Amino acid sequence: MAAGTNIALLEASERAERRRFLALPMPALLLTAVICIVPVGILFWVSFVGPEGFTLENYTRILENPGYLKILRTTFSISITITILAILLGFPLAYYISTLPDRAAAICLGLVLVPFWTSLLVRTYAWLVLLQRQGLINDFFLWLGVIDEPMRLAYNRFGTTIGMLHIVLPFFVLPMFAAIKSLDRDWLRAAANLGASPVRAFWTVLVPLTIPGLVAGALLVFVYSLGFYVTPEILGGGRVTMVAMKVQQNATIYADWGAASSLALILLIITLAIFFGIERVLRRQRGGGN
Amino acid sequence: MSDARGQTIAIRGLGKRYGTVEALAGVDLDIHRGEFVTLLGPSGSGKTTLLMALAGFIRPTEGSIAFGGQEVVTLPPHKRNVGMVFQSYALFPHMTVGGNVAYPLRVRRMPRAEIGRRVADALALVRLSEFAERNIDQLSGGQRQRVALARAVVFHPQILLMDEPLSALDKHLREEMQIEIRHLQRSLGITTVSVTHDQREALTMADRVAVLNKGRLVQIDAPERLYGAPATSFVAGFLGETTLLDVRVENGVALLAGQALRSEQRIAGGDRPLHLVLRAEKLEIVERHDQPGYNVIPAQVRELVFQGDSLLLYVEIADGRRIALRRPTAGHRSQAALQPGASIHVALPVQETLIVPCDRDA
Repeated sequence: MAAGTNIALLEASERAERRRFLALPMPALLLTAVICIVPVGILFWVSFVGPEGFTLENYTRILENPGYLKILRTTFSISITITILAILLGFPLAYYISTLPDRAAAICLGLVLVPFWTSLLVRTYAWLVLLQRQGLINDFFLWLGVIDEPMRLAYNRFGTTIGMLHIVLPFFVLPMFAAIKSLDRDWLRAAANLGASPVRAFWTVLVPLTIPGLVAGALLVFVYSLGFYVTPEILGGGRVTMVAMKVQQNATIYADWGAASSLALILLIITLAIFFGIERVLRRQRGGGN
Repeated sequence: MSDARGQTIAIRGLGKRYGTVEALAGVDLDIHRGEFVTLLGPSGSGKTTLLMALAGFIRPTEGSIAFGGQEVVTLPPHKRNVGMVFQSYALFPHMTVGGNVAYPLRVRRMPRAEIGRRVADALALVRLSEFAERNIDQLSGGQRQRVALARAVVFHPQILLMDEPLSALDKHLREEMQIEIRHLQRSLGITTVSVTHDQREALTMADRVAVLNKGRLVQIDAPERLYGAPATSFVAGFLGETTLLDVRVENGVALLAGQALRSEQRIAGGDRPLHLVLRAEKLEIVERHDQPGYNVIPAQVRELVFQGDSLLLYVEIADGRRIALRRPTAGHRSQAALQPGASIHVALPVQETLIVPCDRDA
């Protein structure tokens, strides 16, 4: 048979196959479009429309009102603190679990996941039971005689940070565990064999090779922290106001949907900017080798 | 460079248990300065466990390991100062070739100039001088192998360990690297222990081959001796293309299917089951049943396979057992006479007639 036989037919069959594969994620794509993109589009619209048509009033107010800036600053500084703490606590934990035999590792991961199976509200109140003035922790230290009067653990930034950290930690440990587990164990053995102490091997081999997992986990934790509402509301005792709480106030107490939308959009835009910024830095690092 | 490089290794009563499983048991082994010893055995024989114990990655349950007379059994891996080539090479993907080779020197906080000089020397040694700036993923398998080797010797360790160093390479490259590693090891004079399940690799590279089975050291000898005088049926069966047939002993004479076998070996009597070792390439085909200097066994051809450089025959002896034998293709005038069903005389030279104690499972 001559060269060139069946070309058109084979191309058509490849196109048909690609179309069939595209059909598989279609339901998910449609659902996302309806329940995510459409509402965000409406928010966007509402934030630019006042009683007299198009307006930037919602945005200029946020930039001019120091109260709003303070809320944004609080939101980001709490989220950054929590991200750093999650890395400091989660990395060693993920590393330790990765060295355990399969069965023990499964049990430990199960324990890490337990917080996922309880309601966020329940967990937050549980922290209140522990941290409040007559809570378990204060009672214990008073009984020991380490302190003379109860410490202020709840209804402030400290309590908020602890409560949020507990909730977001699994989001860091899981991707970190996956990243460490996928490492060739021989890399760490080679580092040791070549004379690197465990600490040195950690910094020169384990950390550089698990950066993608670390960044993925840290981003998840950071972005999730930005949107917290219930935990700072309960554990902050009115002293900690995060963006989501202000959005809720504007929408339900003042019925000012324009103000609520603009704040939500600003948070979304800053988050996306950070996300793409980190993505870019990472890609450049990987491209440059070494 | 063959100064005082190369330490002795002394292993005494080394054992490792995992629960009830004995991965290693009572291993005694002395390795001389600058010697190349290969640990050979099937998977699960304990050869890798032994190597990992030498590197310090596995803590043995009992026993002693001494390098140059110094006990090291409790020393952590990063303080043992032994080079190692991993099966996967374990080259760091986030460093260049030069960065990988420099790593053990940087860890030892050597001055920059010294590091540069040593890295250049090590890369020249494995003929990769032009590759220092390359990334690991730009290298072929053989090049990676050589980088791993350079990294393992750049800090002048006195002992080099290699875990199946050539298993990821294709056959041609593997045979080339066997010779290259051999030369390198000789010129550095570094005491070397490698692990392999490839008998040919073991015989090619090593000064002595240690055969392990089920966590025990069965025999350690120079390649020629190991092949020519296997201590047990396990060793005989693991090396070469071998058929093992159990034989009975009556009045100090071994009997195969009722036929007395002549041998230069003194046959130990007793109740221990014995095996006759039949190497495929040592067997000949003769015309007469009373060929002098041979034990002649009548047999029938069952299968004839043409393999290019040789003919592989499966023949059946009187009691129904099968023997593999190999003849050169050249002069196959008789190939027609070797068709399945043909009756032939298989001959084993008397001086090659080996009878060994059986240590295999039934």
